[in-house]
Amino acid sequence: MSNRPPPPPPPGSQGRTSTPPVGFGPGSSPLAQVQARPLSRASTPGASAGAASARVTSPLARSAVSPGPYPAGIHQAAQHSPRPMASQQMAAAYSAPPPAAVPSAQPGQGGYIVPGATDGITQQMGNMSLGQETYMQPEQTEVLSGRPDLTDLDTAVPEVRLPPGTACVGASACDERVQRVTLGAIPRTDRLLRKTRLPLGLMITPMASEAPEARDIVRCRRCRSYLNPYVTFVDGGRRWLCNLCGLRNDVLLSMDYDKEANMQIDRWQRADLRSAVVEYVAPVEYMVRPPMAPSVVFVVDVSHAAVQSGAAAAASRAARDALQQMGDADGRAQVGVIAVDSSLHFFCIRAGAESQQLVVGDCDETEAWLPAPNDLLVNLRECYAEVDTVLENLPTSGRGGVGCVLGAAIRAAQKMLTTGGRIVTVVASPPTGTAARVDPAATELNSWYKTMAADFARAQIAVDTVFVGSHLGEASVACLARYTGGSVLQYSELVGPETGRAVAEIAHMVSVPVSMESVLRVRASRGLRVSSYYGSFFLRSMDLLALPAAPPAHSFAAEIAIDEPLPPVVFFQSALLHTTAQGERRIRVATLAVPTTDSPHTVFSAIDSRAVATLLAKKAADRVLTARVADAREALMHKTLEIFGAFKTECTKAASGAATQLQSPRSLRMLPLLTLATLRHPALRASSTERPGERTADIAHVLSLPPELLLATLVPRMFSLHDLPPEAGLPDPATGQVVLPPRRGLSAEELSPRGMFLIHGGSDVILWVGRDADRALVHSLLGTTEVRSGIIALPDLSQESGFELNKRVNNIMRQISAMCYQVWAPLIMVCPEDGAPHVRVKLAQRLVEDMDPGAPSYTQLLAQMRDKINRGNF
Amino acid sequence: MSFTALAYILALIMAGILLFGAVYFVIMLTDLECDYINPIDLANTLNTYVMPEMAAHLVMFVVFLLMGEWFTVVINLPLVAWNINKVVNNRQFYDATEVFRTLSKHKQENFFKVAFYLLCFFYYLYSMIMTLVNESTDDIRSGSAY
Repeated sequence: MSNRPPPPPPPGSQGRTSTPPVGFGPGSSPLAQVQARPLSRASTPGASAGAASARVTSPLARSAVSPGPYPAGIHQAAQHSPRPMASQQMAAAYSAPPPAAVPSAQPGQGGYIVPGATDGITQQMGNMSLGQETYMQPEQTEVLSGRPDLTDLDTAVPEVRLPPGTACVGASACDERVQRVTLGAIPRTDRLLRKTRLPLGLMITPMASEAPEARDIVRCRRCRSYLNPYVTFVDGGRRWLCNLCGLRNDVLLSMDYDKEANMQIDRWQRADLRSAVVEYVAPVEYMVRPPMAPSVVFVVDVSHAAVQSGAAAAASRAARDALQQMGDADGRAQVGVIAVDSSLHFFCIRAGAESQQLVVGDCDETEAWLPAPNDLLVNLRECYAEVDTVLENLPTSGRGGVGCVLGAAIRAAQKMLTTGGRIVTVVASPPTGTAARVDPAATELNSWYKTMAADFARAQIAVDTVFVGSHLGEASVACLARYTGGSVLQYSELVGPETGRAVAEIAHMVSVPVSMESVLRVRASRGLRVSSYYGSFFLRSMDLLALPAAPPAHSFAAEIAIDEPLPPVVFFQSALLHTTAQGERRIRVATLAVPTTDSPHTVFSAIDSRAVATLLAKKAADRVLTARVADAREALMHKTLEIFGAFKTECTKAASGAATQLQSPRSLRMLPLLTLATLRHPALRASSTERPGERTADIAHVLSLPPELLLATLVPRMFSLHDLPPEAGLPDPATGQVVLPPRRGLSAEELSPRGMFLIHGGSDVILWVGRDADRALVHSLLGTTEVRSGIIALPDLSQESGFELNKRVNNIMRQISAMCYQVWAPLIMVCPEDGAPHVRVKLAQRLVEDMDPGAPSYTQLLAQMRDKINRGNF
Repeated sequence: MSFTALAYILALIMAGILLFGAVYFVIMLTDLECDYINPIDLANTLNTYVMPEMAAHLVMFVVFLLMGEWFTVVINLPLVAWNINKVVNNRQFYDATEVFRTLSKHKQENFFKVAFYLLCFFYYLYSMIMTLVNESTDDIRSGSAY
């Protein structure tokens, strides 16, 4: 996920600029040089050829491979005379993939029946047994009992199996990190979807993987969807059939002929026909203004409470680290700083001169007033040293005042950011003022922040909020982040190693390359409609998400409704038009093809249970925002029961009677555990002592995290450290990635007094040390034999000898951190077996399979589900 | 002309204005659905008219209440109660961030208001004519018309 700056083009060979496509306005500005970027998933050998799409293939190279040239009369501008070719041969060549060294889409290794091809066989076999065709094959269903097998959560995402010939060339399927659908086989009608009670949704993380660059943009005339690997070429290659709306579009000249170099090109080498995820460089028609420069304004609380709690110091360190890590490649980045207590402190920064602090006492929230016309938002490269000094002195710049006029500060920051940008607010006391005042104890939200968020979305300003402490009115202020595409971080207190963690996470949040002034649109085949979206964005229209900032780790979930009966294969295409941190306007397009089916058995056998659990968790978190927590929990449990109940009714023998065991399709066997884990997540945990705003950051995380990260926090990974396999913790020689040890069940039964266990929950890690654990092992891990309850940062002793376990555990933690896109920098909470109670409570919260005051244990949950489904009322 | 007739004339005019207002709301909401305007503009435009509309309707209601036109009061009572309920729960304004969620409900509410104000218009017209006719027959009978 590291966003490297694009490699410089090799001299000579790639010296041509790409042209705007035929049909678009002439006189477009010359675009950036086209650079080939390797695909991250080389799933077919042809992927290496796909990486060369940026280069023009010479006519000699493609002679053996391509479908051959064109009939005389189509492209009059061709310089050399085309070889004559029989018309039916050419028609065959254009409607089928060329006989290249590219294998066609392989059927995946998923565990479900290929839809369409073997539906008949299922029916026949069902027919053979007693004439009943209403139940699934025995190997497809499973009886849920006992302990769940957590290794299921680490398997690859079930690959969507398409009928052969869906993709026009051997294209790599859509990377599941980018787009993931909950049902691998979508019901063809709404009635069937309702019968199965399954949620149909799409999880989109546009910037999750690398994407090859494509040369020119070809779009359908009617539905405006982009050319993708699933189109069909008809009429002898002269027209292409849009797979989303079915319109026959004319093939543009630019697809076959390169005007600049006066050469014919092989259209099959286009990146957007070979790869489902593609990035275009957008021409000037896609910009309303020149691409904006990355700008950041730090709004830091320097009131007495903030300085005392260490928030101001942490913010200043984090900001300095972030500015150091930010890749300011073209020197356009701008930075501003505003310190807030009961008045506003602006900093007039000039290169080479000392910065001045200007204090504005009476601040108005309706109309911002800036004390200086310029020099408040300065170019980072020119004034780096001065900005660094200002940030260093930030904690002492306040007067020790008691209030925090956050509203006025945000207005001022908005005025400073004339072309948009990011505002990073660090808040440690409840906002005061007039309209922006938040009473920490109030349950009603202050709608001023929502109105401001709407204004910000229009001005392309994204707000990231960091809260340090509690009772800060987080619920209201976090609306700023939620509706502008920003992130929310929350720390209860900054003592000891927590400060380092906060600094690292805030610095990462600020410095990660973020896509600015972006819009995301999801298009689907005819008959499908997106009914609601979940995530951190501003909904500008029924299907357009405005994202003033789109961090790479943010994911958007779209719930899909079926309006009309669907064709055999449906497609989802998401397009993100964004400005990169380097100032380029780009469009990231991802297309996903999913088969449809008429049979409920196929639907149930092709479910992606992790995606279903993610979607249900996001819906529940969204409901917590609008209704009460108890409602959200009940709705989630009810939905899970409905799904299993529908399975029982549709697909099992005991359709209406009572069953002795809970039956589940193989694809859904992790769902009860995932539901239980969701109910125990901090965002949804039942709690009688409810402080308003306590859950704000957790809800924001659930709503905006991609499935992999959400699952890492829902179901922690537990490893036993005292019996690590020899290859665990060391890089795998084949892939170079660190091998993770096998996962343990998340129950206190697994904890043995002789052992040491590491429970990695994404954002926090617990190290459990048994009473009789081997002291040498403890020393090898921590550098000391003394084990005390508390939070520590794992020391890095890998350089010294004799700390083998430490080296491995550090590798494991780094690997999991990389899998979680470096969003968190977790500390370790050491929990000895007879340690302090508060630490043991935290441990009990992470052991998902066990009973908890608010939730049953896993076996109890299965029994409850079975009873409720048998009774039929839930 | 008696006070009642005057009140009905004014109510007639007000119902006409409120009818146009409700139609305007419906048009703006359908524009939002078809992506002709964005939710921020919609919220800003519509929120300026929400309270005046409720206030006008409330004034009409109070006038009829004071005049003792009970049937008219009963007809207008549900809408007044609905408006007061919205104000008490602070739900009367359009929120740009949440408007898409409740778009169909808002449209239904405004369609209902269009129908209601239209019927009210014709009812006030009828009542006004009846009041004027009754007055003039009273005048004729009591002889004060000559």
